[in-house]
Amino acid sequence: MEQDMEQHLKAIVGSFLAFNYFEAEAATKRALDAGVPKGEITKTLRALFLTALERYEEGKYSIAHVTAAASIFEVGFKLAKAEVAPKGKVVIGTLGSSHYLGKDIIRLLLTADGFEVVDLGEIVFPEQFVEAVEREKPDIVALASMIIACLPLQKAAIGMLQARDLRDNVKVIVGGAVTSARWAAEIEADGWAPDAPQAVEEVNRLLRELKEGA
Amino acid sequence: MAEMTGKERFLCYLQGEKPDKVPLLHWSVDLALALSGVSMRQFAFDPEKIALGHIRYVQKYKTDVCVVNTDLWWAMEPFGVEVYITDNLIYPKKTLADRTRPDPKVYEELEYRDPFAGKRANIVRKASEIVANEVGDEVAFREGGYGPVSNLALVMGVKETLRDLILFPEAVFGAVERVMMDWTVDFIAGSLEPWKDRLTNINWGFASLDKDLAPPEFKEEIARLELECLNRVRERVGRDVPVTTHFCGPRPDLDFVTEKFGDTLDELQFWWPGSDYPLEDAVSKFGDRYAIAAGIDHTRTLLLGSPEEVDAMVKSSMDIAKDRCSFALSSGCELGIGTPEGNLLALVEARDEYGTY
Repeated sequence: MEQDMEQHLKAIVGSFLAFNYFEAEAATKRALDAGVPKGEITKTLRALFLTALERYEEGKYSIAHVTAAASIFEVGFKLAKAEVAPKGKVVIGTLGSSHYLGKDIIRLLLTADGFEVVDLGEIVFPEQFVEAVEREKPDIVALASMIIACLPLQKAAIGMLQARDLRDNVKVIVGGAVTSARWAAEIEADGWAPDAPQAVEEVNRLLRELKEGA
Repeated sequence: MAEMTGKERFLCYLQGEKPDKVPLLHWSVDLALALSGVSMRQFAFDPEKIALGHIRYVQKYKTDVCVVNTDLWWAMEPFGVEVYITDNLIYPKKTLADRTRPDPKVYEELEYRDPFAGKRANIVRKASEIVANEVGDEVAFREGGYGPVSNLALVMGVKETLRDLILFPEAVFGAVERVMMDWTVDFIAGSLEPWKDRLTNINWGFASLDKDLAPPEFKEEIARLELECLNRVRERVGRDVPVTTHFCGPRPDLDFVTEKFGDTLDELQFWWPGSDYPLEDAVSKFGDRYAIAAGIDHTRTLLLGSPEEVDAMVKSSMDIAKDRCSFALSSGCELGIGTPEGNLLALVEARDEYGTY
């Protein structure tokens, strides 16, 4: 069985690294049919996706490769996702515009890291975040702004959470290509990260803070 | 030297000669919209309001160049692309490739559509005509767009096209060659028509060759297609209109683009401060070959800084470039809603103080 499992995981790795979406999907299905534990498959997929992000950081991959890797990760992860208790709940969305790549990468990484993620999607407005916080009672709210015209919506969302007395119940992280640490401090967000892996670390830090009552 | 008009100043700069002062170039649909006094829902369908907003913009903020637009998708509508139009923004609602499940067939089945067959295309063209007639002798006009690979991405969805370029490159490049080359030539040549002889330069967006976006293994092929398309546009226009690069991303590959496009280009416009390509390096490497437009960080200093910080940014940019190349003070891309008026006026004051020859 162990040898079989290794062969199945190798097939997933090979098709993932070759960016063969349909073969990666088929290999994941075959692995599940053969009884390979879901956790082993998702661990493999997560490692492959993180490798793709590392290669992007090293300049070996472009955003195009990251996008393709994200789609392969997602199709495999959906098939193999195990039911386990989440370590925290995150509400995420892109404010104002339809940009979603950065937000989706973070959503995928947070899911793979054990968070329950409620994705409000794109072209989300501050009122929708407020409604989602009331409805979902998340630990973390992640506000993405990908274009400069939508930056003021992050500030508006934080202001609305404060006005509705919801601000103390959640930690707010902001991100997106046009954001900065300076901007995050100016709008009184709790956290900011320059890229997806650091966003996951920052969300974990904020969750710890929340649980410790900081 | 006598005070030049913006148009004279910009043409002088493009030709590598010394104008009265460094030209100032920035633009913003968002701020033009605000100056038009109507919401985007009205603006997008009213050529008079589009023209009014852009005319007020160049007059109020003293830019030497006018760039008229509403969004990136109006010419894509004949392909079936649909947009949301909110009070402030226009963004795609429907592009052709599926977001969650890749499928090469959508590229193989793409067919040519007339870029000016849609309602909004003709509204933007009409607005351009109005602006050209109203202020065409005072300011310069830049018109253009993206190359064929980027245009395919606007039709299919940017993320989807990036993904599919890796998953099935033959299908993606096939659609570029078969449909988007002709479409881009027709689109850009058609966009230039309203300006007639008032057009000062063609703007060519190099998003497809941004270091972050472009897969290294396909850069040569993308450059080949872009150059072929650009040369066809120049042939169609029938005169030697200067060509500007527009790099709005934070990692512009100026070295690769200048190597591949050489003398086809006249001006390098890119984002600095803010990108990873220092103005100092661009001036040293390319200042003797091209006019260079940069020096304004539209995402941090101009948006979040004080007038004093804007002044310091302009002084620093002028110190680097003003006397070492043909230099224009330019933002990296469109300015956003919320850019303080005080900072925009500080730009003009700083340009006059540090940029007069």
